[in-house]
Amino acid sequence: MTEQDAMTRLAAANPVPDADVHDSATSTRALFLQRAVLAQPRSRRRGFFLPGPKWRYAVVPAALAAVAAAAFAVVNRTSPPPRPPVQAGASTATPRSILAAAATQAEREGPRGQFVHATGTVARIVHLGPGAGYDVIRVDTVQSVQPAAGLPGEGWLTIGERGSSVRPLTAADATAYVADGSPGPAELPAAGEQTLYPDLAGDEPYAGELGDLPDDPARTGPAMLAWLAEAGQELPPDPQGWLFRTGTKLLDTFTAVAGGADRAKIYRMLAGLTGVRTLDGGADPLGRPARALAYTATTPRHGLVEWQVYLGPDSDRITYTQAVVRQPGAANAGLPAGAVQYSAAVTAVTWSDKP
Amino acid sequence: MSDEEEFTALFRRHYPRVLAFVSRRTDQARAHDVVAETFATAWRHFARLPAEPLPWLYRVARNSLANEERAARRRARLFERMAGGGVPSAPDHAVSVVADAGLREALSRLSRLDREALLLIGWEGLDHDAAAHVLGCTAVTFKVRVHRARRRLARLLAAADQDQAPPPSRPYELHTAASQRGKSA
Repeated sequence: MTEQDAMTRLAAANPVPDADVHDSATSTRALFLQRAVLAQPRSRRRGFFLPGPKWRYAVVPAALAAVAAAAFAVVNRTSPPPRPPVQAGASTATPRSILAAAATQAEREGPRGQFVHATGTVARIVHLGPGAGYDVIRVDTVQSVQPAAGLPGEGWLTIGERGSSVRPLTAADATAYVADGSPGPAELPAAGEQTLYPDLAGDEPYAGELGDLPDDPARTGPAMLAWLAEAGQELPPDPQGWLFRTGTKLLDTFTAVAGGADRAKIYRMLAGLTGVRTLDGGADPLGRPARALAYTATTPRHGLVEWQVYLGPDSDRITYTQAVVRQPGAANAGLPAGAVQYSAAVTAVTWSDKP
Repeated sequence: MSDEEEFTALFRRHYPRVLAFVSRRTDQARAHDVVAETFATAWRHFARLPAEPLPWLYRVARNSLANEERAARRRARLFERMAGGGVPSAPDHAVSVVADAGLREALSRLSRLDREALLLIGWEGLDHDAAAHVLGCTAVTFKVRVHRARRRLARLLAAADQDQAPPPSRPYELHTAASQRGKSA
């Protein structure tokens, strides 16, 4: 039995051949559904800038006022001053104490609204050009709305919808970049599906239910690994690293929908990992006060990578994430040590009862 | 062309394939509910639909199916607690409707994600990029997964056809997967 034979046999076993549903779009049921769907309200985003100068001019001042008001509110609620004189306090804290504090904060978080609105940016290195080529940093805006605190509902996330930019990584790259015509974001090769966090380590995703994980921190991680095995996935070669990366993704501000109890459960699991360390400085790469954790591991193709996670000083929210190349591998051989392979910055978080 | 006209064109073009996709994975009674939810979601997010929306629609449908399955599992657990245990888990619909007994047995031994990867290729006719979008992974990850899944399926089918018990899969798969990871690096 060859693999091709197996696939042929699988295709032949298709229980619903396309021919059986070919005309289904004109069935009474389909037409009824189509009318019912079109009768439903939908996102206002598409119709926001309707054609017509009068309408547009009327909206712009209102929009600017709204943006200014929102920015004021956001700055007062979540954003610290741009570069405060922060002392290196993180070095005295242990990963366990930082994560235990985050777990407590997660549990204490009271209801603020039904939806979490987060904005920020993601950046990643893109290699361009023929031959040795050169590297640029592509930066995309991110906007997301997720149901808060584990509430049911549907969230959404956009990457690059509110703007993107490109800049050369190093001075040498700048020369090549200009010689190449300074390509903009639209001219960069399509990266396939856009993701917040490129998978450098070859991690299998965890898709189990957080609510089903045991509360005992000593059993949470093993239960996540057991879920992988039950799903027929290979066990990660570095379970601690997989748990660090997967756990922090489950807590990601742009995509997390877990409630406080589940977030606390993950933080306590992370607190029990070995290999996690704190970073000195007490500030994230944007200069905001933060508590920073890091885990370093060898990846299949991107060399030795250090994953860094920054938590806000007074909350359990992850405000910055980045993967720093400590020693390049086959896929990023031209990068200097210390280059940031990708990063994600949360610049504003607000809560509201509207999606 | 208005949004309504554009959506109507999208609906007419993709309804048959979305209906087929869902019907292969759940019973008819639920299939139409899932299809309805899928297109309602598409209409709500019409402004953000990709240029080629079919993989996106499949992904939404798949999430909707997964939500239904989770709700069914919760109901089963509740029933189990009330009844004092002994409630068997429901088989995967896509497996149970396969008429070929050997294939059915082989598919049931694959992990859910491996099986779905093969079905996206074998039944939906998607290429790796589109199938990766449906599963929410990168094309590279999908390519590795489907490569391994094809190999496992062929091995399981051969074992089933010879009426032999398949080899003890877990240690062997783990060993093989680890070897492959090393090679792909």
